[in-house]
Amino acid sequence: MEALLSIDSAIITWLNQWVGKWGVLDKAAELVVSDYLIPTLLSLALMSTWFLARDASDRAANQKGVLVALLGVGFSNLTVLIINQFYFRDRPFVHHDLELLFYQPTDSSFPANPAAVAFAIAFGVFLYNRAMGVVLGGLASLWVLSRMYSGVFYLSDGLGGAAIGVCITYVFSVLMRLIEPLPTTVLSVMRRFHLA
Amino acid sequence: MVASFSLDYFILVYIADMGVLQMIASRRDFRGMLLVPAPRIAFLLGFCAVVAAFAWFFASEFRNLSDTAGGIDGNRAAQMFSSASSLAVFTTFVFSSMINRSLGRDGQPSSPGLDALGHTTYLRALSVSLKALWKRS
Repeated sequence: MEALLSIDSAIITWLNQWVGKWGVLDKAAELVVSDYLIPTLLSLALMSTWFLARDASDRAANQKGVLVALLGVGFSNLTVLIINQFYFRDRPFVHHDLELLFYQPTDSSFPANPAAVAFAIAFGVFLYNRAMGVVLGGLASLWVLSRMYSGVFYLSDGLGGAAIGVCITYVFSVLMRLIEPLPTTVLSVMRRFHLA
Repeated sequence: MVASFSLDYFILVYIADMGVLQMIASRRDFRGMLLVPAPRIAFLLGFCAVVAAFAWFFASEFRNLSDTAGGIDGNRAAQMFSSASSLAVFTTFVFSSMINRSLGRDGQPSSPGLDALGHTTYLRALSVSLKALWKRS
């Protein structure tokens, strides 16, 4: 555990030493780290996934991916909330002298909720649409990296959050298959109203 | 402050969503969903709407605020996103149905799902489907 904490500390101090060296990089990080850029882009991509596909069967697969991702997001959020009731980890800026590019969050650093949510979306889509899932995974990774660079996450917080997002979403993808034909029936009803 | 931030976020999502829907309609040839008759222009306008919405949101004010200092928390942001997205879909379906009202008048049978929007408008496709359901029941 001590070794993991010291690796975490070494990574964040190494990353954060570059803050203030390149103005353009800092401006870009301030934008990417925001609570509103990547989450909104991920949600817009999720909406596009609902509509975009070559044909009806591809679209049905994409739409199941969207449903799995939404369930994954909700339950990953809940899991992080439950873990936070029993475990609290200070943010990196509490113990290290870091240059912050973001406000000082007061909630637990581990597990990172943004990572859980972003990776739940990316993995949910990835299970049904590889190309889109990889793009969303890239966005999610960029968000986590920018939070580390900005001094608000340790690497293990991001990895922990991502693992929760991926695992919970995978569980829901299995459940989705087990409860067939319910998801297909829901989508067929929506198709009757031209919404899917 | 929070109300103004929420409203700004709502506007960002609404405009970006409208743009994305036009880009999708253009790429998938959903002519009944286009707000501009020419698909290429609709795609370009949609792309510009997305970029302009984000540029306005981030350039107009400092946005890295916590929910205790005027920002909005994650749950509130999710609620704002779903309501703005639903409104954008509703607006697109209603206005595109009005703009393309001549589409689908030739009485072609309506395809199931979103594919119907390739040859008719949303409101016309919905009305055909509802009539068929009514007859069956």
